[in-house]
Amino acid sequence: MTNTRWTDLPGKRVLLLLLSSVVMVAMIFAACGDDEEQEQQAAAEAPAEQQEQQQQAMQQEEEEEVIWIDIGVVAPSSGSYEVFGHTYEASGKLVEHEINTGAQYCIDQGVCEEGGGFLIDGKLHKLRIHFRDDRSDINAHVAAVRELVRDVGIVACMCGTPHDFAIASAKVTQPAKVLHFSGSSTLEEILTEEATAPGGENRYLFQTETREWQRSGSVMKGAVDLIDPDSEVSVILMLNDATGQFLGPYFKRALEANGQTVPDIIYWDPETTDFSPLFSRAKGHDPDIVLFLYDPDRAIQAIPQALEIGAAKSGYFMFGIDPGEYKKRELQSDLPVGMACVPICWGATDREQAAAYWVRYEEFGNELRSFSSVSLLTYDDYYMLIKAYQAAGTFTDADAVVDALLEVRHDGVIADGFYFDSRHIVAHGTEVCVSRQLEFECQFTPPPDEPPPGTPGF
Amino acid sequence: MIADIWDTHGRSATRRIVRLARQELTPAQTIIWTAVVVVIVLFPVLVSSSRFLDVAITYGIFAICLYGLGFLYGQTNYLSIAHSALLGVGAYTAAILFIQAGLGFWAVLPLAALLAMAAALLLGYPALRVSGYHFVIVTFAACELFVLATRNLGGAEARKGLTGGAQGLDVTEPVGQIFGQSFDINLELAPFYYLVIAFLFVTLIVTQILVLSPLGRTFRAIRENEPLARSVGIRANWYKILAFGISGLFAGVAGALFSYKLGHIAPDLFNSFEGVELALMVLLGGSRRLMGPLVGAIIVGFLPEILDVIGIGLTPFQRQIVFGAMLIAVIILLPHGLVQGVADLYGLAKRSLAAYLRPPPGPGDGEGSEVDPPEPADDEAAEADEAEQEAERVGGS
Repeated sequence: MTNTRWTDLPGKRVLLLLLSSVVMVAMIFAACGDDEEQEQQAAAEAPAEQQEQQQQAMQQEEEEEVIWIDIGVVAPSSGSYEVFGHTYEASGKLVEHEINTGAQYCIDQGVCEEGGGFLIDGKLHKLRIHFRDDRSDINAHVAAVRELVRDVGIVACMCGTPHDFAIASAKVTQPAKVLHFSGSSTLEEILTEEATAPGGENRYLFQTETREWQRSGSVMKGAVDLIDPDSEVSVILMLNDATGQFLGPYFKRALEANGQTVPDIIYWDPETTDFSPLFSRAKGHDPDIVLFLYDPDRAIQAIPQALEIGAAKSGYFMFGIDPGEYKKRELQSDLPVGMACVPICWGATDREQAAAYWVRYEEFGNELRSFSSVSLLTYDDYYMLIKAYQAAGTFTDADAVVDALLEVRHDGVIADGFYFDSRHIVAHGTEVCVSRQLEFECQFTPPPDEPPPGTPGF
Repeated sequence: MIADIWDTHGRSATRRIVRLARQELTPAQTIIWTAVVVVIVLFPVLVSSSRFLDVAITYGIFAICLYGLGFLYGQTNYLSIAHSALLGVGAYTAAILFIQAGLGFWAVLPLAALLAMAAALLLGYPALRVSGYHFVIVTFAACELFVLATRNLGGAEARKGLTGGAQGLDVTEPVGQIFGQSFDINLELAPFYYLVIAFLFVTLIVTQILVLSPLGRTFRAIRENEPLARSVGIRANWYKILAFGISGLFAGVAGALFSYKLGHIAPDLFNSFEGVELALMVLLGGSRRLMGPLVGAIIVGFLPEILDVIGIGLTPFQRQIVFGAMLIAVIILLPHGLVQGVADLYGLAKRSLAAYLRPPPGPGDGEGSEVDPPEPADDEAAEADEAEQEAERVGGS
């Protein structure tokens, strides 16, 4: 039996070729027909297009008088860090809109002109913010920062969270004299007086989150005050990563400064899902308060396990959870559950400026999620930066801008009289809320005046 | 003794390399190789984006590690997830020796390679007692062990310890100069790129020498039929451990380069997820073709970047889903890797075209009078035959 294919027959092969030719010719005709139709349509729309072109030309002429300032935002819009990464883009877009359109808030700040933009040395400037998704990948993050610095020519970058990302990208921004703002509180270890002085290796690096002894001090004071002022023993469950290892001792000292004994810091690995053994270990210390830091999503999973075991006598505390998110989840607890936002909650806040900010944030189309408060770690900084440009009379001379930025005092969303100190770190309080049967009470505690004993560098 | 080793292994391998170099390439192969070399050499000129060049450097470094991993997988059929940890051993060795002893890149490079090799030998000794999925799980666990150790070494004060705890270590100096050429990646990307390409080229040559050497054939003999190899006297376990050690050496070199490229290393950069990604690159490109690991690295490195550029309108999440779907499609449709898959498709297309253009047999032609010339023997089959012969030779000697 032979396996003769039908295409082997000469007649069929000719037929196949003919069919192919017909299809090709039909496609060519179809394409030509489209062009003709398009041309006719274009001719009909010509007057409208001409008007549009004239308008565009006028706009172009106006825009030619505008000087654009390129600022980069590199954050995880996808991947494991998206939970807080998306907030960087959200605040960046909001600020870009407010400044370039001359929103009322921007005018009230004394920054914007009526028609949008702001003046530096008498010339109109606007912001052009370049967003890059680093996919929660440090290699992609560094590559994106390098592109923005070398190819786009940004003069400032809101980039680098978490810790490793900030350190790695600072090695790109600092030699290029690009102002680099990062919300990672661990940076304070490298932001020494020497490193931030003129000529120092981190002269252009800024930490937009308060120092850890200040943050942990205000958070722990608020937590103890609101959960149980008479409590004596607290146990900390801390995420075992770069930030967690850094935070642990600070929160322990802050609790001790608020009259607590802390017999144990239990570090839990990022992959942990069953927290029962850890809460049992905590319960062994007979604590009044059990504190869970610092991953809010894990906290929501973990706290029901703690409640089942009955790990604490007076209450629980979760770092990073927003009362708004807590309300959505309807977590039931007989004991008070404290929570702190980074730095101000959207679900329940006593600060008027912050409440107004969350309205603007949502009206602009941003969704309020568990970590939306992180957007505040960059929002005020844009305004401070522009004030520094205006004071320095330039945005290209990085050293002059840094000098001016250190002089800026900004009444912002997070705090009044907000400023960067000589080590390029801001100082602000943190809002702590407590839920008693889903009734919330909040307290915005300013940072302590003095660091607790044992704080590194003091 | 060294002379003996040279006589039995070195000369033979060198002869094979020379033979390979003299081998005539087909026009298609010549065009492909010329294009690859031209694109690699001119990449910094052709691509103006610093982002793409940065990605090329990073994945060039990973490709060095992948040639080691591909050597292990291709020659012994053992797929390791622990290579991210071995990469970490190289990176941490470079960073620790820089911080503690002030040693520069060129001084720590051999130490990083040797220490990663030692770590691989140490891990290989127990791990290679099992195979298949069990081996994958053991190497996965080893990877996590490495992360736990580097994250927690020093206990409560881990971040002040030798490994810097979870916060990791900084390498603040660039790679030292050679012939007056600086390799400071923060000043200029191109020199560092060419440095990585030079290392990659050396890696490629070394792996080919190893593959073509009697040692490589011994590995393949074990891969194809371990009981048979044992029966002819090959100490299969020792050879497998050696293969793992050799692959660790490449990972060590890549690790040292990686620490100097990024300037900062931390445990999470070398976790099991990264190990899976390295394995994925080898699977994607294919391990038994010369270009396989390189192609795997290029796909994983550049595809998300290209999707970022052409995927306008897609959200970052959607782009990640598209990326994942494309990877799954390649693995399912091309189980021997993309390079082998493309070669197979090319062969198929060529044969189909030849069959299509061939005139139908005339009435006088007897059936089977035009017999197709025999297909060239498959490389793998030929290698297997050769490996069996080699196994006999090694076993009998």
